[in-house]
Amino acid sequence: MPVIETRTFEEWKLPCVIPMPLLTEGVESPVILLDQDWQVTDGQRSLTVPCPYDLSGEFLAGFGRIYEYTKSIILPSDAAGKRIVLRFEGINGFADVFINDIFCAHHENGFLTWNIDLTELISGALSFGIRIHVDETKDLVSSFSHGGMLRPAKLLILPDHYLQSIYATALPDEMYQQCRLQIEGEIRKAPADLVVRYVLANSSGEVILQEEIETDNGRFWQCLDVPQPIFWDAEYPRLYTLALALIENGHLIEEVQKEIGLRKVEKRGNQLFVNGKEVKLHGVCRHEIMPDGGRATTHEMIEKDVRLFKEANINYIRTSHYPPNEYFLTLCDRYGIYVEDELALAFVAKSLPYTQRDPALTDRYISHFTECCARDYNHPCVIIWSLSNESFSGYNFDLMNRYVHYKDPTRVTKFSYPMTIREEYEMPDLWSIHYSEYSMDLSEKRDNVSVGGAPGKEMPVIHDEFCHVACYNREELRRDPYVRIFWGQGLARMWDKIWNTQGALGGAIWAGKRIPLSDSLPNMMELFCWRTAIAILTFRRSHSPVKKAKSGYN
Amino acid sequence: MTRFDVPSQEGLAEIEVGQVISWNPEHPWLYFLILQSREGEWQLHVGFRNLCQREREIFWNGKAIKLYGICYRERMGDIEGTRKDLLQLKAAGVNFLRSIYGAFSEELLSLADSLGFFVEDTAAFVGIGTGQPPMQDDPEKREWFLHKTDHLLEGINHVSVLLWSLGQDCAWGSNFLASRERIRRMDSLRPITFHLPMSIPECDPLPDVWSCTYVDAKQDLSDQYDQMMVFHTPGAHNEIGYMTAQAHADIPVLHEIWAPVPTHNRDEIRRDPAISEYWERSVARFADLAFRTPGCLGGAVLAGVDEDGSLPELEDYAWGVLTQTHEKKTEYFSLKHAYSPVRIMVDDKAGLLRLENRYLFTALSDYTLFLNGKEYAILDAEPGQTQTLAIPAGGDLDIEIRNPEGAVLSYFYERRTMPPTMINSPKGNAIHLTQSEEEILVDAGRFSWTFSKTTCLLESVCVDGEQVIREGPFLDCDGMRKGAWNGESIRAAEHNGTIQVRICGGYTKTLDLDYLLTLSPTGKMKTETIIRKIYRHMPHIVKAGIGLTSGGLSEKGISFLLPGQTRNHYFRKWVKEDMLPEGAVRHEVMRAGFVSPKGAALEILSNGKVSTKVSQAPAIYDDTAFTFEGTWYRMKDYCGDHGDTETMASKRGCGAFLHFTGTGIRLFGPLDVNYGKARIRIDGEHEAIVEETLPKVDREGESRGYEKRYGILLYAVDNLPDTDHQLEIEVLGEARESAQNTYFSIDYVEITDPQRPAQEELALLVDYNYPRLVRGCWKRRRVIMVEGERFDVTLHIGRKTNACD
Repeated sequence: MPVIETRTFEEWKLPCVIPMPLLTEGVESPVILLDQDWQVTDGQRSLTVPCPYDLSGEFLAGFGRIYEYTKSIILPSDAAGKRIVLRFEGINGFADVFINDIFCAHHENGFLTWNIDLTELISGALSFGIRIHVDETKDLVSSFSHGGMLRPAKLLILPDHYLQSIYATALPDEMYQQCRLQIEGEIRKAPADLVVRYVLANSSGEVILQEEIETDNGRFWQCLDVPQPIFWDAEYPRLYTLALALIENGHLIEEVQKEIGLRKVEKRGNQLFVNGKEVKLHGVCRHEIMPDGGRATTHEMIEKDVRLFKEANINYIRTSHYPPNEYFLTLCDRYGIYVEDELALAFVAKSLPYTQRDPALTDRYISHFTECCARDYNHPCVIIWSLSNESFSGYNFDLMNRYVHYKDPTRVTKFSYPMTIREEYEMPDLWSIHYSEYSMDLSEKRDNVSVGGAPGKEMPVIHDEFCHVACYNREELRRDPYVRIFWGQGLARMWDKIWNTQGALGGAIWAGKRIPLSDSLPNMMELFCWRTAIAILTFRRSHSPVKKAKSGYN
Repeated sequence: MTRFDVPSQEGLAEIEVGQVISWNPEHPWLYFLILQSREGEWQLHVGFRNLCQREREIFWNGKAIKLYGICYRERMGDIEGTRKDLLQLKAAGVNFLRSIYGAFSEELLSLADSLGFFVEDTAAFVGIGTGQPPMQDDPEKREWFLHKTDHLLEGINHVSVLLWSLGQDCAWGSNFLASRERIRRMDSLRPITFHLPMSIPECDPLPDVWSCTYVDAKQDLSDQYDQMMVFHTPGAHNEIGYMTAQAHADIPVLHEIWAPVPTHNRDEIRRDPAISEYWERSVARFADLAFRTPGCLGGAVLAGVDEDGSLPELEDYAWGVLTQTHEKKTEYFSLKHAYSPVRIMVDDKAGLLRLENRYLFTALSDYTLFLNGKEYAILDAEPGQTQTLAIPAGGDLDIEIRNPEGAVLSYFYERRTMPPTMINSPKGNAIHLTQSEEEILVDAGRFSWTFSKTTCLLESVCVDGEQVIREGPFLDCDGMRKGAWNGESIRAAEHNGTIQVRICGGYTKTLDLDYLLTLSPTGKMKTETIIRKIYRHMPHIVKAGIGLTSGGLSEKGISFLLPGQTRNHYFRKWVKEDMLPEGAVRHEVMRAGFVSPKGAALEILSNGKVSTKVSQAPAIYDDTAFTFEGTWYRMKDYCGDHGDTETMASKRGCGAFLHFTGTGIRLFGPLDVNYGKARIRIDGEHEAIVEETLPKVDREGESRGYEKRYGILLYAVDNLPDTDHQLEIEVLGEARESAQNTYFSIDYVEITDPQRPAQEELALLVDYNYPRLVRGCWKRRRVIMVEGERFDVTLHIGRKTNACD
């Protein structure tokens, strides 16, 4: 039997995350939301997703359960003859999907979007049953992958040939006077005469480019010169709208639309530049969690988060410790917030097993990135790929870092804990450190697990957990609540020091959101309090873009 | 005989004894006490002493004491072994025994009384509230605590007991307070200590002695801190590498563990067994500092004897200065040198010898100093005093101090003159350079150097046609894994009567360098290494269990392959005795060389600047040479596998096979927490179950969280018939409890093949270090390479002189 070798980078492909159609020829509503009326294992109740399974009524303590969702589907009559795609935007736990009790798909990574083309399985029937078997017990690499259907499920009704992927890449010139926009994508079984019509409109809605592109064996690729490009950054979050239409024999068969931004991220020495300008990141770590819904959040609450963070002068959010709802990225694109998109690989070899050197799990590691990249690539707000939180490096992480560099050179990578990376491995682009002391040189390469340090200052240092909101020192908090204001003095000092230290890229306070106390969330206390007026005001003052100097205001 | 009344069953009676001879560890004078009553008769040895504590000193019979100690885990039931150990430790200058993992037995304490040791007797509380359950404040456990304390107090009559200790690595609590009060009620005199003292709140009494462990050689030995393991520890960003919360109590500091014997850094120990000799610099430094630091009581080396598995959690920790069978290890001699009661210090400039009498109670009158084998002076220094003697200028120094019984207590050896060369240098030879498309040939009559223009390396150096160097030079940068050699160019030219050969090349993704070889007609060959460009950073400074590594390289220099034939080689070094095995680095040699049976010689011109190492380079088959059955994964792990690959399977029944020809085989593979067991056979015989799970001793030496070890010898069979064989590996799909998976991984095998004898590799080091010699031990400064740096070594080839016969 041949030895199983690690795949080459060319062999690892991004999966197709099928874009949501705005229009499907002959279909009134090409997207059907499936959030209502899922029967869960006990059969006694139905629930509406998104909702953590453990908050759905049982309130059982602990993770690691096995359960099932079932639902009967009746398609509208105009779905007849169309392709039917089932889209999940996040099932946490290993999911096996059955259509009419026939197994059709297995998926492992939580928090991410994936899809199944059901057309052949349902053989043209307009009604069928879905059963999803969720197993939370088998995951060895993902700390937070539990809770089941935490994000919406949808049915897409699509033409026979539909867009399977779209990737847009901005390629500015060195002076940022001109910009090329590279568009590429894939179409299911595209015939030779199928063309793609694109329309690029600026943030005012003015169409600035439109053209038809021929396809080649189901793929299309075009590099456009964007006239008078207006770049996206967190202070001026100017977006373009890219509309793509599939034209077959002169008929419009599908239309999709994406918001995109023109921006370029570069690391030069120990500084990070966006569109040629050095950036300093003043941010927060954000768990995507709600007091009443756990990690199943609503658009309203996500928008409230983003708005409040923006108001607090925050220009950077680390999505600790898993990819956020994609709507959050859409809002960060619009509001102007840089995002460190963190893969759901936290605490590997710390509280999770030592899988970082297990070759049988290499594909699983890489899939965290390929799936996340397939979903999030087009969001200009995402400038950093965080490969993990507080994990120990090893073969799988090194491969992943090199693969990310190979696959997406438009962003920078970060790994926590960097001191655990062997010298033989390729370094990520940013150096991560948590909980630096104010007295330290904030551009030094250290981390908080290996107390030593690495020589040199050639990498930007991101303090992507710092200035922990006062919460563990409960005696002090009880004695004098003023400690919460006093905390702001530390934050202001740290931020000033980061601002004035070359090589210190920025930081994210721990934490942006409160993690609710719940029987269903063991070992997580009601610790992380952020959303209070005091904290917002303190942060806003600390991170004010206009700083009072001794001689007045500058 | 004295008759007295006891007021009750547990009464106290005082007897006046006149003119007693007091007990101290240097003069362990004991009295024999017989107690008779109507109920029976009791006999015991007693010693008299006066013990008091004033501020930061403890006084024994009026003298401030210093403790040169060792942590000793007693093996119950082996009293003869214990006696042997204690006699040897006494002879090594140890004056203090610290019990670990529980109190000493009655038998051991009696030995300590009679042989003369101070004793710290430790209650059997280990890791409470740290690694073990937090029982320190549990009222239901109060009796358990007091029971253990009472057991400790059974040694109360032994004069050797200096100090009571309330356990090790425990967090303070009310039960410890109760134990302390119990001891204080029974014994109002002896000091009490607690380890970790920073955990004692301000409202509770401080211990009498401040307990520290793993003091770093950079610290002040009177600092009061303790060593706490805290996860997010920004306060630990200091050069010591662990939490050093500070206290300022007016009590003495005792270093319960200092200079632990190298144990956990097994890769370093395997790479260079000379670490056991190098370790002396740590213990000697601490002994010296303790002698000179007011407020520092002294300390104890960890540990006395290698573990034998009788305490399961310590497995086979080789942390002793004595072996499991009570034999002396290299570290024993290092300890004896460091704990020498008379410290010998040579001041060459002043021509003086300073002798520091570190005895507490013994004057050096009647002790004799021998210089170069002859009686030189009778000594007279009082305890704690220094005596100065003149020494003759020049010449080697071989100093011994003997007690009146003739035993050698202290010694000092220094070679101050260069040993004679072993090479006959011919004179008047001419040196010629010829070049072809493939080769560069340098001919100096009896010597020749041949360079390959393909590899851009030396491919032969000969003396009278006999090869003395087979290939080289190669960069030795152990600690930084280098890529494959790529020779870019080689050029040669005459220069002032020599031939200079410049080799330009690099090691893939590692660095670019030049080797500049200057070849003289007298057989001298200087190799200069010039670092042009470095593509990797030097190894980080990282936390390693307890303490920080120094970071940087373990070795820096160059190496040459030597022909694989039997050679005599010898080293002339600074030290008098060399107990180190083959393969160890000989540090800072004066002169070293190799002589073939036919008389061709190779000599290293060092003058104390170059360290050398000779290692074997046998024939190797990589994991890719095997055939496999079942599901095997190949992992290209760049961090230590031979050829960067290993092949591994986790399921029961997976098989790997290698056909080879030879008389012996050695299988090498990694150790990791994901790895388990396999059954291995040769030709269906020589069966062994081999395990690749990282043992506990390695886990405690890890850095960067969780480390994997590479190239570990797993299985070896010798003396096979010189014919074809098959190595069979059957994965068992099982592992010990601490493992997290059941992989078995193959890296490479070495074959003993009479047709392909092993080669020798000679390393010439301009610098070296032991970056993982942590836990407070002394390390050299970080060894690095920087762009633009140059270093050189010089070899001399020729025919041997009589000096090397």
